[in-house]
Amino acid sequence: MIPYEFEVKEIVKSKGVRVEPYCIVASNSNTALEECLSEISPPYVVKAQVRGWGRAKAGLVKFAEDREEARRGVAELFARTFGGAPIRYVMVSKRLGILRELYLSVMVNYAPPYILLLASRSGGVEVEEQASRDGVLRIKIDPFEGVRDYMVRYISKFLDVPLDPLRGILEGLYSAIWDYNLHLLELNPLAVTENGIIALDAKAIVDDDALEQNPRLGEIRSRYESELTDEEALARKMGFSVVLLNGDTAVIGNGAGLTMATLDALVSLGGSPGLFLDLGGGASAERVKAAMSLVLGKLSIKRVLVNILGGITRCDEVAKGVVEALKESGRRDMKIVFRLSGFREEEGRRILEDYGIRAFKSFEDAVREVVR
Amino acid sequence: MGIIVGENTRVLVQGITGRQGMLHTGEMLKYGTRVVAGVTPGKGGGKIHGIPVYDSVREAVETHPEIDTSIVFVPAPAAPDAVYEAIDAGIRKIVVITEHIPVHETLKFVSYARSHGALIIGPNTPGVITPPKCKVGIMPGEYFKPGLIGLMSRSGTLTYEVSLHLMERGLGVSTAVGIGGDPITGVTFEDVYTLFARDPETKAVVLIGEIGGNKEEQFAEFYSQLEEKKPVVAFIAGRSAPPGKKMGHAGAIVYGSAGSYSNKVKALTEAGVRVASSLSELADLVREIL
Repeated sequence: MIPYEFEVKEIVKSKGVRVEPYCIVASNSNTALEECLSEISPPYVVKAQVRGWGRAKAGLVKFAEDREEARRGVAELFARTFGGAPIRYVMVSKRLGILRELYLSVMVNYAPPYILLLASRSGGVEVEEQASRDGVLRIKIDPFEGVRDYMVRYISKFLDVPLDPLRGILEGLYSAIWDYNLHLLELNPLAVTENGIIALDAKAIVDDDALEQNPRLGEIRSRYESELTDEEALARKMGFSVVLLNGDTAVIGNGAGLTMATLDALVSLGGSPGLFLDLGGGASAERVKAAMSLVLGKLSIKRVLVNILGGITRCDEVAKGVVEALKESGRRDMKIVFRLSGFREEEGRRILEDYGIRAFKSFEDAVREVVR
Repeated sequence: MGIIVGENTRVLVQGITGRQGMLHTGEMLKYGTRVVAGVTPGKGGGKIHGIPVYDSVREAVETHPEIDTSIVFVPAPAAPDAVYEAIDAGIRKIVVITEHIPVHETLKFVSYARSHGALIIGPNTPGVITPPKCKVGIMPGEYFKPGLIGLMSRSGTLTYEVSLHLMERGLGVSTAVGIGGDPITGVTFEDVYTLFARDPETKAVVLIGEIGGNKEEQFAEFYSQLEEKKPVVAFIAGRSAPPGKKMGHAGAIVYGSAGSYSNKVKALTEAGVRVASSLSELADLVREIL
């Protein structure tokens, strides 16, 4: 999950990394904006808060010389969207005089597993491209050792910044990724100003699997949950995984790999996937019914391909859940194609046949039938 | 023969009194796996399917020194502790079925296991099966027929599906290893391939990958540098997945070009791995090779 800039800034600030003066306004609050503007002196930067990268390119960062211009900027940003989501928060911050822009990040490297520290002499929007041109310093950190002093010396020399503030920043970032279960924590740009080194933007990726477990993530989690769409909230509650796509065919399977492979097979035969839904392992009839009802509620979906390979998952539970959802919805304009194999297959097949749905034994036959 | 587990494997079940632990202990016993003990802190003294339950791993291995493998069904918040306990009690093969363990925890216990010479399979794995002798996992045994193909996979159900496709063409499996669907896993494709390379009964290896991360790219780099190679055929799921969306697995997400389908196929193909675009093609390619 990608938290907002202001949430990440709160984290890095608590770890001793300096940030510029800023305040946050939520879409419904004018008094908050006036209070905010009176606390910070112009000039301003006005930034939409988004869950993702590419904000500046999308025109969601504005500069303002005075309060009036900042008010206009805030209003404009609230009228915009990012990746289909409305803008819910805008940050107004003090615009600082920048001598140099740098890039610094700490991330979890997956394979092989270690913590990776990246430093680049050029920060800003095109950091990936600039980094490959300009060179980037990569340092591996052992999780049982943490940040060693020689690492601070290497980076200090590479970035040409003094040891002392840098040591604090690096140790702060390293401790933040453990305390808040971050896959990535990035300061870009990290600015050298006349008043010292300041993080002008901060981005992070939070481990979804830590959201429930880590009490420090409580506030970030509840804000995130309050913004979920109905589908996402249902999926989270029922324990399945759903991704909306543009086509007319829903693909339901048990297991991420199998569901993805089903999606691929559908596309290769000319089908157009409209929804990906992984039931996960051991789905009950209740969970399957909720999943199927979600699919039935989408008018853009005209065909459904259900691919079940029953191991922990019982074929009869899946069949029962689907049939119950169909009976309740009353939608008759859908083509439902099933593939059933494995645990309690015969029982599942019987339940479906009683309702007039034929279940295929083979994966490929079912995919061919749904695109036909 | 097979790798990792076989007829001499003696299994401890951690979390044996939980719903999944209890169910799959029964299934493993039915398959013929020699489960000798279980552990659930605070529930020692009883029996599950006739198997004695202990309060700690230490007690279990003191009473049953033949234990060489553990399978972990402990829920995510307590699972890392269970893994450390098994490593510290001297168990050298640990199969972690548990899903949703935070990646930072996995990073630490995987590093700890490596420095202690222990092999972690998973987390978020269906386990390991050497048909028809032993399964330490949750996979349905009837989908695996003994044979000459080593399977290694990031995905559970897709492993069963691939094995089923092989069976339909008269082919079987030496061992199937689920390395796990999480971004960080204990054993890697390189580790598992190396074990298959030493196994005289394994004639070819099937790699089942998916989009996201760089596990397939890492394997490709490793494989391209080998002097002697057993043939490898691969299938990568998620060709049609949109970028930036998590496709069911914690590891299955593409940011930019890193971890994309085309990156993986390119790396594997250049390394000399044949990549199939469908499961039927995969089974055909394997049959051609043998």
